[in-house]
Amino acid sequence: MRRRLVTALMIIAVLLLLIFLRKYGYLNFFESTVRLVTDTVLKKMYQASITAEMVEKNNSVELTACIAEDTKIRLLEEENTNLRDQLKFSEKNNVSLGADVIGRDLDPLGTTLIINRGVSDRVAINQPVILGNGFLIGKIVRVEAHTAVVRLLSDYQSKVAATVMNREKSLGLVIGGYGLTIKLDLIPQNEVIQPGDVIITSGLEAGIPRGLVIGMVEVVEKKPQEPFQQAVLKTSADLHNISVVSIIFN
Amino acid sequence: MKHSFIFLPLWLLAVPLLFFLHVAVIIFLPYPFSEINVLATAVVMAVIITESGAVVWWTFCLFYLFDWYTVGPFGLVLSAAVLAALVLFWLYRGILSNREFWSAAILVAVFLIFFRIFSAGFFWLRAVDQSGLIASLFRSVTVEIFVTASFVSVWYLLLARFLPSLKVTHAKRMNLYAKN
Repeated sequence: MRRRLVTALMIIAVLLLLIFLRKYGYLNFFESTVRLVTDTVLKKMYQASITAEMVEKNNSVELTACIAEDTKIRLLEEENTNLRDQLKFSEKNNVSLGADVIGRDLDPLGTTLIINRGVSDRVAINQPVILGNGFLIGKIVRVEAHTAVVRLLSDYQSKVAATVMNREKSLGLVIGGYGLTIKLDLIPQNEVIQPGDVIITSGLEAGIPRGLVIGMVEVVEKKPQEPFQQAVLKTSADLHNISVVSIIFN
Repeated sequence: MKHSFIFLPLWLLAVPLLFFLHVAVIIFLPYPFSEINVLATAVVMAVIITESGAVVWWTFCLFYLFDWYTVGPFGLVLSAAVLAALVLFWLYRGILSNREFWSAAILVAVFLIFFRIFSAGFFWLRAVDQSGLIASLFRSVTVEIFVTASFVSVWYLLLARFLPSLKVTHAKRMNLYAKN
């Protein structure tokens, strides 16, 4: 019994030592050397898993969605410009950085992507990650020297402040559903949302600009006894077959 | 068998290979086969074949690599895996010492359950956002345990054809230990 206790304490001590050494950068050289190999192999494997057909499918979905949204976004931009002028807001341009996806769902605790950008590229936690010209797919949750982990919108812990492009411009919260679905929640019962309504980021969340497209309403779930209504959303792209993304620096 | 760890370079070489195999299973195989936990399978088979506590340290190397690509802060998944391996080893030496495929299947289930429990505990200690964590942990664990246990059983039966030590009954092993 005593021997077992000593073994357990020894293991805990080594774990704590490793965490300490890593935190203060003593393992940087070793890790970056090994990661050169692991990241490269992961990237090759991930790219091999995405067939050309899937990429094409994603691109065509993206293109169709872009055309449909273009008009609405232009209208929004006009409205936005007027509001900014009125409030004397300075125009801020979002800068984005492209990244290759090198892996996905390695963590059993989440629906994630791994990208080949990290602290060395000024990537930070909570930065939004987009696909194409502005389709939000997730947020950065962990950053390493040359890689980062993106929590996808469909992850059970994902929460994004959103606006419905309906008459009332309803505010709500987009939450993930265990890697399977995305839901819009906290929409008051008296506001009208319909299948086909576009959902965008509301801009009420730090670091996430307004106007990034999240998806479209597919099914509205309205229960009279509940204070809020919910909607199941359809994303603009298959979140599991993405090869290139962009990180937005606000 | 206890001297298997003199082949240290081979065990270290197995670390990246198993990691890449684990990744390949996740990204190439369809659900539910993508839920097979190759790392847990490797740990359990290593415990059964070597019967050495050094497997716990090997688990350390295996999950050190894996921890780089997880969501939580560094060390949470690694600590959970190493402690789960320690519990697994003690259980194997003390209780689940049968050398049968179903015993291996139970061991892998025990490893995965402890791994999840320790993960949830460490996430709670580090005050990582808890909303839905427990539900998510146990939501997929059933499928993961079932497919991984089946995978381990198949591997055990296959390896038993080449490794006679995997066919030795519990009574014979006890006699061998007594003689030694």
